[in-house]
Amino acid sequence: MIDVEPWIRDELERLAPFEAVERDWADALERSEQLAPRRDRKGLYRRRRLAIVVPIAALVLVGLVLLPTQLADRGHIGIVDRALAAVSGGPVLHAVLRIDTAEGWISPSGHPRFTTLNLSTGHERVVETTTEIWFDEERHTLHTTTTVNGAVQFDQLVTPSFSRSNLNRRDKPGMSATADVGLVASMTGYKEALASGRARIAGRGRFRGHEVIWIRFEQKSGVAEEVAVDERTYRALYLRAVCPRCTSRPATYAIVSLGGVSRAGADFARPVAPPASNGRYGNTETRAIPLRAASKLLRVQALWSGPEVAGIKLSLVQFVNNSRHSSLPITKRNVVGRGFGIRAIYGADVQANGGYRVPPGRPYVGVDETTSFRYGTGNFANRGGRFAETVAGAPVPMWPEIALSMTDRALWTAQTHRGQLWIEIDASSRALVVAAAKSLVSIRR
Amino acid sequence: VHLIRDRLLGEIEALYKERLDYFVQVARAITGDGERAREAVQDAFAAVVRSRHTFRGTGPLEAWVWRAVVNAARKANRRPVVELHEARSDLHEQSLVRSDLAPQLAILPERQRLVVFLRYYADLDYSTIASALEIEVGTVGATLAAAHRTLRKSLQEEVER
Repeated sequence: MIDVEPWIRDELERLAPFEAVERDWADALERSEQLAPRRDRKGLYRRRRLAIVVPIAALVLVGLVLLPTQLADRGHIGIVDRALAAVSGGPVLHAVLRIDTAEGWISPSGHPRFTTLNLSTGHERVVETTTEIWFDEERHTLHTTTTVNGAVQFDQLVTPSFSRSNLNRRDKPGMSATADVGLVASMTGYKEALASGRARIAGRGRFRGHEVIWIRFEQKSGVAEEVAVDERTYRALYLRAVCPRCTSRPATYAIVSLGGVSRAGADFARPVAPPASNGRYGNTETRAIPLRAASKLLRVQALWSGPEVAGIKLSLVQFVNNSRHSSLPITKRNVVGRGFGIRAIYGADVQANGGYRVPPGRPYVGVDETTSFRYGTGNFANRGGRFAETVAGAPVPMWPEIALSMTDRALWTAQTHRGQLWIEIDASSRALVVAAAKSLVSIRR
Repeated sequence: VHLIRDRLLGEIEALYKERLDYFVQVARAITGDGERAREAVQDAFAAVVRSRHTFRGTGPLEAWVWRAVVNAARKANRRPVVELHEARSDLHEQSLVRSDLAPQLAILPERQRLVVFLRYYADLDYSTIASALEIEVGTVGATLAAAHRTLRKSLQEEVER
């Protein structure tokens, strides 16, 4: 197992080092002017289209303007005011948003791509991605964290003097975080719009189990955002962009919390730098072994999914010896870490040299297990060995829960921690990977 | 509308001044050439300025600009990333251990490569990458995971006994 993130980061930095580049905004503007002839042709076309679009837009605008009045006539005049009152004050905007993972996380087979499945109860839950934002508009400072099932994946602090994230070990140039940075734009816009009266009521109805009122806001870009507030409490529940022309539907964010806090109560902590790579040079030795030798070589009781999984027979068992080294040439002296693993392959063609091959399109299963998530087998994307993560970036669940991930059309992965073993099962379908996980048993010596 | 466009122009200029280094760094990774990268970024900003009235605001402005930069760099790309590797292949000739990223990046599907660049060079989060590449947020996670898997596998030297 290799700390792949530090390695990627270091190698990318060597490939294309960060360099200060001379600014020439005037040149960009001049080039844009040179694009004018093409634009003019488009302009003619656009003017023709406008003749049709403008009356429609005018109708929509009239409707939007009249709607609040109509609602007011029916006794709804205080909705926006009450929604404003539900947003607490404070100079630092604090928002916690959760992406509804039912949107945009669906595999072609119709299943969510990243879930946690309890094999005992059958209960399955979708992996949650949560974004937390702290934004100090006056100081142009923005702190954003994104977690996956609670594990921090992204942590970035942007200030006018420097920016820093958990992906890089050094500071990068600062920038003035403004209200148009990401979701902060709509959040700030929400609060301001409520206060200024720019908000409009776009409709009401049931959404994801809540009776809501949709309040529409024009963003600074001129495009609408809608926020759903609870009909009874007026708390903001969901946020979405309004984009009828978009090819993919904009995501709807569940608003976990939204409000203003004091500067003392805000979190503008500097993100922790990522750890150094745990040895740049890796070596893997793989050899076919008899099944009965697996536990002895792994030094703990090894597991397998039986002689066959859903009719797919065991092809071979391999022992994997991984080592990481601090320098070249690779010797025993410069080993910085070592991990062993056992790999059971089902449905493959065994080759004369002890390797294997799975012909394209053929169903297969691979069961990897190791006592070291950091150096052993599998794809436990650890952060410098601090903790093990699934391929989705979530913490690895304890057995009988498994993390299910689909990373390719015909590649499903299950990952779990059972006793001393970190287990990863790869298979060509979701059904196979679940079947293999369910049938895990000890290998008899 | 005119006021909104002018305001957008100011925001685009601010992005240019504050983030140009990152845009050029990613463009350089895509094109494999510093000069071409710089040209691509200038062209991308010219196009962004010219077409700012089409900005739909469904995602961050920065993501929209990233999309233009990535597209311009891809258009300008005549030499693959692997050339960077060839230019410096003498560094580890004595080793059987494959620790250079460039050739491994070169064999990644383009989308995976772009997600890796935007993630590690530009420090972008999943939702901004999704907006920049016009893909779903979940697809970013899956694509990055797939890239990690491929790179990790290719990083390890397989010695079969």
